[in-house]
Amino acid sequence: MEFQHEAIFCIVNDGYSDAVMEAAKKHGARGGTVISARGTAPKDAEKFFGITVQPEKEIVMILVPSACKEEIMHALYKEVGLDSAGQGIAFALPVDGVVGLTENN
Amino acid sequence: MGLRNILRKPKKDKTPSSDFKKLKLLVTVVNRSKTEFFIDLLSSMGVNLQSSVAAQGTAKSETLSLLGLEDSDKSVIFSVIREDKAEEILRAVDERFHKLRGGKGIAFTIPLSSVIGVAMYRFLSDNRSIN
Repeated sequence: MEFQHEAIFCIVNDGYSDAVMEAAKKHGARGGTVISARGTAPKDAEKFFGITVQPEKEIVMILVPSACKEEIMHALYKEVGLDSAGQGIAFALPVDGVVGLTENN
Repeated sequence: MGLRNILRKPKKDKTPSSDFKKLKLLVTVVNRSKTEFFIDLLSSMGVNLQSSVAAQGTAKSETLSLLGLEDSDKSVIFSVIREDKAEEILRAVDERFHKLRGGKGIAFTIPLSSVIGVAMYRFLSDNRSIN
């Protein structure tokens, strides 16, 4: 099955959705949707890896053409990846039956 | 009860496998004020499980006015639908996107790979005929 679009979900610390969109827009994304969420992590794991997990998160959902996906994921990893203040993780799901998206012009 | 159903299934094997339809997750992003409308629309088409989450659009205002979307308060509706009904549902949703004032939005489907529990599967697929 061929998928022409991918939905990128990027989970970042609260307040970093703008940084995500900025990075994604540079590589062809047009808009996104931000959902507030709450993250959890085992306390001992936090101690072991020497990180703190901020519970307030934002999930940014971006629908993009499959052709742009690779570039955007790479940009997200570089700009808002786990090493940055945004502590973002991102994954993409192939989607079909997309309606309502205006054509690029 | 769900577990018993699973255990019983292989023995009976009454239902031809073609009766089992794959499921999809339908994600619909619409203006917050239209949430109820779209949930009602989807329920009327045999969608049994949906949940909506408040969200925020990120498009800048110039783009918004260009596309006719002024409101950045959005709702994301997640619904589980049957694969063979996906096209019909998407077409209906798309029609409302075009016809409804301020009803512009986007929708897409993600194929689901697995579901746990026969009872849950029957509920999600709204399939009342399988025993």
